[in-house]
Amino acid sequence: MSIFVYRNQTVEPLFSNLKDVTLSDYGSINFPEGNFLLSIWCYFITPGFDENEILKEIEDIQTKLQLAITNNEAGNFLIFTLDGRYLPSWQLSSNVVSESISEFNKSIYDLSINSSTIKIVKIDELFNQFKLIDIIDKKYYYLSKIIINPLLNKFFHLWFESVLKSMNGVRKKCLVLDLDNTMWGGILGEDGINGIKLGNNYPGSCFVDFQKQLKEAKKNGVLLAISSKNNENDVWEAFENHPDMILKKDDFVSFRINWNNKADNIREIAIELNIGLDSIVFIDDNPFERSLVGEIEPEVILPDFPEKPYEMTDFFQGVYNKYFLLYKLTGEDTVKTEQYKANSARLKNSKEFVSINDYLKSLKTIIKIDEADTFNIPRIAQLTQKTNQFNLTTKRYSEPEIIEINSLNNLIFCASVSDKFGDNGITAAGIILINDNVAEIDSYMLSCRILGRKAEFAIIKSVLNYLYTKEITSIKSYYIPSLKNSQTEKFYDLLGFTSKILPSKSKEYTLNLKKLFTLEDLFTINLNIKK
Amino acid sequence: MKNRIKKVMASVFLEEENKISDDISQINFEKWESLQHLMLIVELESEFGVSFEPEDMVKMTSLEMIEKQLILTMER
Repeated sequence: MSIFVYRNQTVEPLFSNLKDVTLSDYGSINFPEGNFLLSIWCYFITPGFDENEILKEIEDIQTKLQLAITNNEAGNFLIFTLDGRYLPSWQLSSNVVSESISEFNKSIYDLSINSSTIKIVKIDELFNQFKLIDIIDKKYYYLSKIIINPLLNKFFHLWFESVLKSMNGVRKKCLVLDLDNTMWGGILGEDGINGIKLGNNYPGSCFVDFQKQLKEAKKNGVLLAISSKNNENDVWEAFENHPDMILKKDDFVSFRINWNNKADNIREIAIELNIGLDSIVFIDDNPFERSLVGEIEPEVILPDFPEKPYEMTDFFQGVYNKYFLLYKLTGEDTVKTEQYKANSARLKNSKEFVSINDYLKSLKTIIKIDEADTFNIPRIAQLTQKTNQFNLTTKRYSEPEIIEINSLNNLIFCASVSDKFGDNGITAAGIILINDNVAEIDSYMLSCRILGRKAEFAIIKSVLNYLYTKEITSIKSYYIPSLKNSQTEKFYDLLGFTSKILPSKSKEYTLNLKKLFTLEDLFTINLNIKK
Repeated sequence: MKNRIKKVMASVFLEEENKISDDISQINFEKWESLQHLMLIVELESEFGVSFEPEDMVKMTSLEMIEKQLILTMER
């Protein structure tokens, strides 16, 4: 992806790890020729001593930024906050410079709230990890006028990569946790409920805070699960009755409390939640358990657990920042735990019905199909990034790419599925490239949350029926095999497409629509496409 | 020591180690411009655990000069 960086200082080393980066001239807001997917505004206030000069520079940066935003042609625009911790303050009582910086940062924050393409990057999140003398090394600064100490480059690279990832919605999904000496101190089976360490005093206080962090992670869309060698009854009794327990049984979407090996447990949890093993981070204080899981399931992430209880909160923040950081919660993320639990309820429910169709009808599912718009494009991009199992071509797109495809005569759609258990939100999307009366299904995917109820057929049939009414009857599509999408291998065959195997082992399909598809009477479908 | 310096140079200039000749200098090696020079100094400082003075840095314009300066600085 090509990136354009607006800058007023020497920042080349900060972005040297990224491919395809073009930098502006110093302090210039000319947008260059060429296609850029992302613009980055990375300005630093010039170190100086005269407060009036500094204020003028901040004002100038503000003016330039506004012009740059107006003239910017890249899809996304990332703005670094300004940070003035290296600027002098001559009187303790006066802080005009820091006030002006706060105002600037507040104004870009407002911009980002009112726009789906402008996002802010808080440089203080990086700086706060260092001492001031490490942020600007005066020897290097006076020699080269490079503000950020070159020794910080590799930290900046790692940090900024995780920022970019979180903006693209790439994150792990589930945290599988051990219990003894992880969620509390001591061993429940030996020490008993009253003997485990959890409460106001050290080291119990560390475990309480660790649980508080897990709770926040859950609120931010991370799924929590348990894999522990324990007696299940003891565990639930502890969760229910220990006065200092922060987490409750309800906070976990899945659990395996038994004496089996943890690799098997984790695999079962993955199957139950319908997620890949590479979406799982496993936290266990016991290096033996971690390495066993690592041997058998190398895709699972296994962070090294800290030696000392007081190191746990920093440890967890690190794990969260590395694997789970996200830019903004979508509605889907927040209610995820509820949705996964509702799905478990659906699974249990389905056992009582004789015919699967009867069961599906009883769900009273409503499928709403919409074309792409500014509100759902972030979620559509997120689906292309995250969906692995039911994904015919596994093509990943960023928001700006989706916007670009959508600006042409193509059809991008998404579908929300709700039923009597709850609203699953937007859980399917497709991209159809249209050329005259030929339609090519470039991408089609469904989140695993709504698989197993034939919605995948209903959605694509409805969209193809719509194309038919627009006299677009020649349909092309593809299946590109990936490590995870084998369940979609026959999808287009089942819809009646004719296949041809390509040398790459992908399949190319064609279909001439001669009549409307008949839709099974399992859902209510609302199609809102007007394009 | 020469080989260790070459290794650092190769990583800073993003070059194969065998492309770094014994007579490499700022004059005959295009990628060695001022910004890269600073990065090279930074990496040499951490590789050899030393700290160069600005006056010395400007003299370190070839492999030979770097080696000389390193020996001097390490003896200090």
